[in-house]
Amino acid sequence: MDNRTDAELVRAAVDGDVESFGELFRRHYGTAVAIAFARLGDRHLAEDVAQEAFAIACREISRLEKPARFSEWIGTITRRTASQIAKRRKTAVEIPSDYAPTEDNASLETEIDLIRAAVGDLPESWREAVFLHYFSGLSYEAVALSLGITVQAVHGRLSRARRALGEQISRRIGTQTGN
Amino acid sequence: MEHQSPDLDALLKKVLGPPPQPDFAAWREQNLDAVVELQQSQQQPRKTLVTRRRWLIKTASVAVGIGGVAVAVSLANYGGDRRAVAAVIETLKRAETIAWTTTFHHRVTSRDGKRRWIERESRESAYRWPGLYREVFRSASGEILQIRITDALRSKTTTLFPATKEAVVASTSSPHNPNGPFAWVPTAMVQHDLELVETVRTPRGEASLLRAAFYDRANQEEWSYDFLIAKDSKRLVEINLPGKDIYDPETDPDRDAAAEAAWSTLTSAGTLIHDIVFDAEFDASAFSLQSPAGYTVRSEAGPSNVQEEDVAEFLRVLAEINGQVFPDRVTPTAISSAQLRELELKADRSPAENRLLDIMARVKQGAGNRLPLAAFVQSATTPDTFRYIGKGVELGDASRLVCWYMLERTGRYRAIYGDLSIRDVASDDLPLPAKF
Repeated sequence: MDNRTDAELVRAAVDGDVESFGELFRRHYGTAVAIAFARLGDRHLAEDVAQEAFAIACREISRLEKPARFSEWIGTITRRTASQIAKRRKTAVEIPSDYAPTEDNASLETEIDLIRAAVGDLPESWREAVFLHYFSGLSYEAVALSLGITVQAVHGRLSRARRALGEQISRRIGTQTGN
Repeated sequence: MEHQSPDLDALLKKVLGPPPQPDFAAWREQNLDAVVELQQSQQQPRKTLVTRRRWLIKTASVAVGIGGVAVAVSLANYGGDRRAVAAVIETLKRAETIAWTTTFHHRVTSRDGKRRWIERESRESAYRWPGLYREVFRSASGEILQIRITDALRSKTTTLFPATKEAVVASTSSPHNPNGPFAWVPTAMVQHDLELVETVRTPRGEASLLRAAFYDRANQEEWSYDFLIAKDSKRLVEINLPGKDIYDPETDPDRDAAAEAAWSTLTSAGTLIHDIVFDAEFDASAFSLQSPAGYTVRSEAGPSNVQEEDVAEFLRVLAEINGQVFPDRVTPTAISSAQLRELELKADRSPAENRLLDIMARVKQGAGNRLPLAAFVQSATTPDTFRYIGKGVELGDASRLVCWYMLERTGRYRAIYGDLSIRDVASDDLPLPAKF
């Protein structure tokens, strides 16, 4: 197991050590996929975006002025790469969001569909925290590092997200049952 | 009420699916070009350096045994690289003035391409903190041709022509580092492994030759710096770029070849920075931007005439020459002076090559002999905001970014796309953080 800090790995990578970059990849791939998934709603596309983000990071790593913030940096690159791809896809084809329930199929929604739709309705900053924690399995501390916020702020976002999800689910169940 | 049940947590995990599994080996295969760029920085030379340093230490140990005391003593008295490096860095930080001579060694090829020779050009330079430079350009016979004073902090120059008593004042971005001529040296000494190559005798006494050898990723070649440090004062006395392992003016095969009037290409063989003197004494007027009495003063427009549209056209031509794909990189230069010279001499130029030369001729004077892209970046954009990511982008692809920059006069980011459209762009929409 590699016990070096992210900063040490970044410095080694800047010096040409590919394995050090590989360790950064392994540590933070989940972060990148989660952020892209939160933005795009498509897991396969999210993995493509994450891989592209790491390619950019690999080329530009010498420009990272604060090596200890690699996690946050890769998140920012991923966000922007995902946005660019989202814009290109909107221009080319109208792709229905995975999170978009319609009046017609609301009655057919399963619990999973309800939660998926509710997640899609969350504000983006809460949604990112949800994906980072529940999808990529990051601890609150790791989520905080990835988003550049405090652990308390992560607690806050996830609490608010869970509350909102609960309300959304209840509302949708009410809609389905006519209550 | 918060829906904080374990059920919701479990459901969220189920809905979102299993976590992604990083497969670096697969990613590496798909992104070999990025990996190669990372890999080719300094690994190989460092291995070589370690081997040679061990050899030197072993040699010293053996030498002691058989009476080669001089070698062992010189290594022992040297006191190690770190103290000397620290002393050099300290001197550079404290120096109020520095004087030095730069001798450029140009490798020139004859018109028919069959012979080569070395031409030397020297320049006396001086620096006064903060940010003031003085350069004296002489003819082959030693006559002063011009004296240029630069304020690198304020981007102002005054060039004096003693023969005609003319002075030209300009506001232009300076090639000089406002932090001093050798501000790059501490970083180079710390960033690269230093090898103690040998002790040399200079006119000012013995000096240790420290070499930093590495792979220059920008130019894709092995490169090195030689630093000569005086043994007694621990001051920097000479720098060779590249080091003598790559170019040695005393042994280079072209060093004694006769120069010819007609030539085809000229490239840099090496640059020697020598006779470095710290805290040299200068008259205050030596760095004055005021023209001396009796000189006719002319003002020169500083900013280049290169517009965004010229940059787009330049990129178009580069892409056409590169098979309808934008080049991999445009720094340190999109096209070298040697390549341009070759194009000028080429008999059967393509339409794109002709247009490239047309652009160069059209913008050359206003761009101060810089390439259009360099002139535009230096004169019209906020420093360190230009980024190029055109590698692999096909000419005509409107969805792909080729480059972006912040226009200095507006403070807004602009981007050029694969179809050469130029648009405002928000910094948040850029694929790389503007500053991190």
